[in-house]
Amino acid sequence: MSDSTRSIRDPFAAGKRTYERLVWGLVLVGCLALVAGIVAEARLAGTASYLVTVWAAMAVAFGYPYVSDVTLLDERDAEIHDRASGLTITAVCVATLSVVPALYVLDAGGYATIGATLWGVIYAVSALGLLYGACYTVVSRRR
Amino acid sequence: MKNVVTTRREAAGLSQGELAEEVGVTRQTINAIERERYDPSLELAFELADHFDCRIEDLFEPELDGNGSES
Repeated sequence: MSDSTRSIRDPFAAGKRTYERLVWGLVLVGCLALVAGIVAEARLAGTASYLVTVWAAMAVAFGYPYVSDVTLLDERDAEIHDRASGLTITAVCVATLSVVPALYVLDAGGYATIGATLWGVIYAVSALGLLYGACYTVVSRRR
Repeated sequence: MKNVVTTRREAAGLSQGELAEEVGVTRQTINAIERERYDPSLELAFELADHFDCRIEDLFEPELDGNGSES
């Protein structure tokens, strides 16, 4: 049975490609609405549009696989996600561990000053590391 | 990992999408397995072997080095 025939019979039988396009299309619309709101000086409307469309995208992303008859995500997607997540956390850790301690020392010695923006980045990266550690502990204890 | 999934699938007259539907994965995963870009889980390998009514080692051939471990 072709995808188009199946889609007519069952609205929840769209293929993986349609699912991905729908999710990322909604995210794109939300981002465009946000930018349009900034440009048109209608920030509240832009922000509201962004939140509604991005929440809709999340609802589709997490909810659609449960109601669809078609396999949208499988073990290969999970492996790709795991590898990408691992690569991200490794890159962040390497960048952080190689730079932040040196910045602390230079700041303490008066050779450099860590600005407010950089402190924000350091706090965000530290929070990400702590979140990863917490998630890792929970996942490893469940396996 | 080398495999003969393409040969078996074509012999059975199935498209990648149809085989994917039969074993409960996406068409992209079947495509990746056939192109030897993705090694399936043991569970999926069993599903495929069961579908083609053969043993896993009839479908997949691990690339072993001299010590018997997978390279």
